[in-house]
Amino acid sequence: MLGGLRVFLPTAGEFSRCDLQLNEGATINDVIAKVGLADDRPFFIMFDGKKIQEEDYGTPLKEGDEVIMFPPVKGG
Amino acid sequence: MSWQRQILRVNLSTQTCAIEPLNMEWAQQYMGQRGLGTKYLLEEMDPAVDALSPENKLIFATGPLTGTMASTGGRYSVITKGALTGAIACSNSGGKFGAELKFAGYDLVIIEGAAAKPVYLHIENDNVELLDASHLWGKSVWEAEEMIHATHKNPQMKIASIGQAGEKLCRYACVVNDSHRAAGRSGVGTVMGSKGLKAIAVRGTKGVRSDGDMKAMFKTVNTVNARMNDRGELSRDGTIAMMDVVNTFGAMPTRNNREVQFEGADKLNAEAMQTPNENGHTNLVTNAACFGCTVACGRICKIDPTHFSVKDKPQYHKASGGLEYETAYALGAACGVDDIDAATYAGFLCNEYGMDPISLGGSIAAAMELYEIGAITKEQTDGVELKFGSAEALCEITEMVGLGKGFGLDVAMGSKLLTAKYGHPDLSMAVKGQEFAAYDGRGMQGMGLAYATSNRGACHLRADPYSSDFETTDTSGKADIVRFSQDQVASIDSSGLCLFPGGAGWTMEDYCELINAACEGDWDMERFNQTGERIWNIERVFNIRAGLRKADDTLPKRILEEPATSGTAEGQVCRLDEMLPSYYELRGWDSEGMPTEATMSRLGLI
Repeated sequence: MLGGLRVFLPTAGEFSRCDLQLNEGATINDVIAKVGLADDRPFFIMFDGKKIQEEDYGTPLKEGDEVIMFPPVKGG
Repeated sequence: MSWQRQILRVNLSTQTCAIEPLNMEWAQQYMGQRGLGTKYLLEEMDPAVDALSPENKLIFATGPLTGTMASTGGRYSVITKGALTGAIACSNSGGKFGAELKFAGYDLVIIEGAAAKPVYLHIENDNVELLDASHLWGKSVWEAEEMIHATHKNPQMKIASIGQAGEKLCRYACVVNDSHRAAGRSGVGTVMGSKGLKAIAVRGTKGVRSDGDMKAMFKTVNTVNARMNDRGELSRDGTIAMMDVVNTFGAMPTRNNREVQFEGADKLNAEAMQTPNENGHTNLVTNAACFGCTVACGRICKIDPTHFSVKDKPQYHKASGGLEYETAYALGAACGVDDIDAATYAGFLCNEYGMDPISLGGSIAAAMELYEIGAITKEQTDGVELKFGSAEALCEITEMVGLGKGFGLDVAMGSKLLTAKYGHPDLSMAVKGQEFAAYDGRGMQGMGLAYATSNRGACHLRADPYSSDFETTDTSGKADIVRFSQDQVASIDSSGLCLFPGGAGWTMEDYCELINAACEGDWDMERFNQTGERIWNIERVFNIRAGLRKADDTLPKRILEEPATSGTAEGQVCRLDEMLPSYYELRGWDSEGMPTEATMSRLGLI
């Protein structure tokens, strides 16, 4: 969970990463539910090296997959 | 509480200072800071003059909310014709100098002419004098601040000055205040150097005027502050938290934009900054806030004292202004350097010598590419092995640019003149001569349009296409997002407030509420937006009179023709041609990018 989203990490993990145990057949939507972002926090998702659209959040995951969540940062 | 209603006019040629009333009609139309400073500049000088001639003017401008209790209300801007770009320049800074200038009683300080020998301007409320700066000339920002403080013995005094880079006319010299905050871009410090003005030292005890309903102002400030909902993320990680986001997405300009993802980003990110290295040294010491700010995103850092850059230089072992996201990109990824201590050292030198780290990093990156393709040799670089990834080369060249030595003088011209000199102008990653910020226009299409159309040259703080760009690389709708946000940003930049609360929960309505509470008259969203549009258009008029045309609203060939090699936009170029015509149309400009008579009339500009 990149940028400011790391405050929402659900378990004590590394700086901005954590491992999640999910049921067989779990999807990206299940990851989103499990990390429990505040309702008012917009976010985007990168999967398999690309930013994906919301309609692809039903993609089933397999062991070892990495889901990257990031907020719409600005400035610098 | 809003305007002080007076300006200070200083003529360096005649060595005279005069206090004049502020033109309140213009204040109502252009608010303050960026807008009001640009209005005065456009009315008082010919934009076609040489930026480094005495005919150019240099304006220090506060906004109506500078020095108030509104969060982040400490901003000031330096407005002039840019030495790097030949276009309108307006560079914004925080720290505490802006509020102090306001407390001394001034909305604007207008600097005219050029001094026969170096001077600095000393302001203590209504007492204003030009003092000899011969002993300060040749000194760094840090030395000059110390010496001026020693002379006046007033610890409350705030100082904005130039370093050696500004004196030696490095094209991207900046004005540094409070040791490590800077009006950084476009060479505003170069103009100050050309005028022989070393510093402005100010002490103000007047506070800010109270024109409006103070109770309402208190209430609004509290209400709006409560809407910051970022949970302290910016104060904890700083803007450098963006490193992971932009790099993972695939919009990180790497090695002079040859690539869009940097394999060394994890050595320059927030985690690297906060994690002890193999010597047990941690780069980040603490965070810091500018005047009145409740965000406090600034980084205060220390270089590992055993690092090659500083091991024999104890003067750099103290904590000072550290890497922000843009600095980490420019002195890191842009040059292919993944050494956080080397980048921090180069950043310290930017503050000490007074240089814009973004343009410095972009210019070094261009020089590295010229070196790698054999267009310049080791003999020409004074023996520096100028390869991408070399932390040693980064540090050496930064020292040479700052002090105006050898090949450093070539890099000090900026990437546009540097690459032209060595026969490869296409390798300058710049717009209107100003180097890119930390976003690639292929991964972020709206940012590509924002760079191309920015009145001051490539800039990440002149529009807000971020959310849209992270959502999609489809260009439809981007022209309107860029146009509309350019206007809103222009209004914020004219208020005295900072843009960054926009990344911490504030909406445009929150900014507008604060402006409305502080300023005379009704400031609703319609007026907020239209004021920004008016400001954007007078900046455009300035540029047209300076000789800029449609051909200057473009991007380097690399961004338009070489596809991104990885990331979300892999295989894509920036499709500027899909966006620029509709941008002009939405702006009410003709197909050549000239504001039409109807647009000028609607905005009250003719």
